[in-house]
Amino acid sequence: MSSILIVEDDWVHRDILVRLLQMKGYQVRAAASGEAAIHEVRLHPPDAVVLDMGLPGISSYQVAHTIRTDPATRHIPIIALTAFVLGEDHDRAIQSGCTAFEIKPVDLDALHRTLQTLITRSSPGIR
Amino acid sequence: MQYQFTPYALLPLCTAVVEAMLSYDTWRRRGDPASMPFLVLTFLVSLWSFGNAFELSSATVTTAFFWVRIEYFAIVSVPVVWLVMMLAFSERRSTLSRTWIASLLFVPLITTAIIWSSASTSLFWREFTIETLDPLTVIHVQRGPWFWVHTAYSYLMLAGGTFLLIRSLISAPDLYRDQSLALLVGVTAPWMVNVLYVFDLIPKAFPDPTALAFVITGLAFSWAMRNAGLFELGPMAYREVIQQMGDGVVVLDPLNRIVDINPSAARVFDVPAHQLVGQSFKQMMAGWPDLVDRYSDLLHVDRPTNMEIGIRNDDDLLVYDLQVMPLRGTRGKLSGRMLVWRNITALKQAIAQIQHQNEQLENQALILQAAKVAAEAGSRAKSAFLAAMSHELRTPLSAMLGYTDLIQYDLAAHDTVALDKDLAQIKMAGAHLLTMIGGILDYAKIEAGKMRLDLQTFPIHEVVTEAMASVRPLVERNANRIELDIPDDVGTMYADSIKVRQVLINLLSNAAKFTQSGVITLRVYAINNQHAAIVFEVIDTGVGMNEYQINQLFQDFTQVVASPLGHVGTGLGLALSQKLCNLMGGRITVMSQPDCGTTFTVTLPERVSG
Repeated sequence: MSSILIVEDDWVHRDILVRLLQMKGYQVRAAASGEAAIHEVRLHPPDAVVLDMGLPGISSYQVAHTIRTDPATRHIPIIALTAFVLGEDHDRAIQSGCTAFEIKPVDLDALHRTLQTLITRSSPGIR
Repeated sequence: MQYQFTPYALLPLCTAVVEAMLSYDTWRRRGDPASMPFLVLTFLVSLWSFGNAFELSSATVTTAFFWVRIEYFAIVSVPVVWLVMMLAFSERRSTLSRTWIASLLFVPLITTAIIWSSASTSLFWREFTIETLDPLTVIHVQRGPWFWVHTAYSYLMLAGGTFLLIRSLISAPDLYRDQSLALLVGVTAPWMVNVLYVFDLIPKAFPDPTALAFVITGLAFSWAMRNAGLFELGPMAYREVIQQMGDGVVVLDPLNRIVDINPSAARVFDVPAHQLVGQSFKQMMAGWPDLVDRYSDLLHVDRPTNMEIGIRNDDDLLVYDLQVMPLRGTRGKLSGRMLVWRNITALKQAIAQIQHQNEQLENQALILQAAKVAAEAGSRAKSAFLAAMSHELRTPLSAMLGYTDLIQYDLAAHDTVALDKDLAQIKMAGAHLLTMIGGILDYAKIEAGKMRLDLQTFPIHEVVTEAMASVRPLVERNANRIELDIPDDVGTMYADSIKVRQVLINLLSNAAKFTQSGVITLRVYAINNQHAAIVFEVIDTGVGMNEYQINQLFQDFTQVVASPLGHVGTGLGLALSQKLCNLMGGRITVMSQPDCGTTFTVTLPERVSG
């Protein structure tokens, strides 16, 4: 069973994502802030991170960058979530270390497929 | 009539032919102003020479005497025509009236009458004999008294004409040097020859060479006319320009007496030009004492000076451009000054008008620029609004869609507890969406000036209680406590109760969103001075704001602080509340420091005017 870390400050969206991904069979943990996310990733490295790009406090870009630069966590794929659909948000997310990009409101099936692809690709057994 | 041919007659004959040709040539150019006297002159000289040729060929005294009489038609009138021509040349046209010319011809007519009347001929010639010095016929005469009258008169005419010519040649510019030379030769030739002849200084063997001399004159004048445009562009053109020009021109001598003045300048003094010559210019200016006071220095300048002069004429200010040019003779000695003035009032007015229009255009450009900047700022704000709105509207919508997905799982799992909670979430998101859309509509109404106030008297307690009740769940969600501080006797106010409540709910919700485990206080009190007012203070112990954030606070669609716990805001609430308060004649002010909480103060008139 793949483990996922959801990073989302809005509790409504966090609640929805956590429960929907659990329904899909993922083992889901959640963080409400960037600080909590970094802490959680180090403590329980997940198979993938779903990161909302509109976090208050430590920015989502910083979170992505931190995960990407830590040797212990650099292999973990990050899926960026944003309500903004402008190209520059996408570019900035990829630059800071995100692996893929999904637009809110989240299409659960699309997110599921992306997670499957990324987790398979990054799993140590295949590499 | 008896004739004997003599080769000496060939000379005057040639002269006659040449003059006749000049006469014809001049006739072809008769459009020139001074060509008519020249035409007459050449014709007369031609007649004179013809007569001379026949005189020389005469075999008898009677025949010779006849031709001499014919010649005298020309001889008596040539000096008059000469004078007339010179007058025309030096462009004293006004003096060339017919009566003037007729009076000049008075003496020549008497001479002609004396010569042709046999009774009086002796007054002119006491003796008239013909002497044949083979192969030449020579007339021998004893002159009578009238001959000298005639001669004196003729010289007077010639001298007058020559004087006029030389005077105008002196004043002519260097441009006309060749012309001048030709004319001088032309003038001198007949004089010299005639003096020699009349005083018998030429050998008797010669015929009267005066006519021959006039050939030189004719040729010289004709050359000047043909090649140098003598009669077309001579010095008189200069004079004409000065006479006709609209600018005033005055020439003063070193003592500032008027030497010359053109009609434009003379009009200023209301006196004909010729009466002004010789007058003191300062005396003529006595009618304008202030001008004399201010500008009399100009009459003593020794270099070209240019000045603008304003003259008040009744209510109008006339502006003149005055040029003063010192005139210098040989060796640079000052010989006088020339004053030229031009009325530039219209020009000045046109320039002033253009400047005025320029200023107006510049002002308009500035206004347009400001309007453009404002429009662009407005356009940017609208775009930012659209972006923010679409984001904000999406958030509750995606919540609704997410919970709908979850409800499907709830249904499949027959989990009615989860179903209930998820349905409640959908309802809440829907309500939030409705509030936001209501806010947008309100905002649009205010912007369009169509927001109406529903004014009525209501108890302040009532509105405050309602507002508190509706935000209580939000307040408690962040573990906050809410306190109300209101005097019991605060009474009523006259305003739009719904909008007052809307403002209070907005401020209280904000306070709840940005405060965690703190206290939110709503303090209400009345101010009873001449502007009776009700004050609502919303005090929180939350995150606070820095100066920059406070400045951005009331701007449309700008959410300055991300809500720490995921509460949504449209960025519209404060701007909208401020506009609603303004609409009711009140205002919202704010005091805050980072981490020290925020106080919003709403001040509304106790009685809002409609």
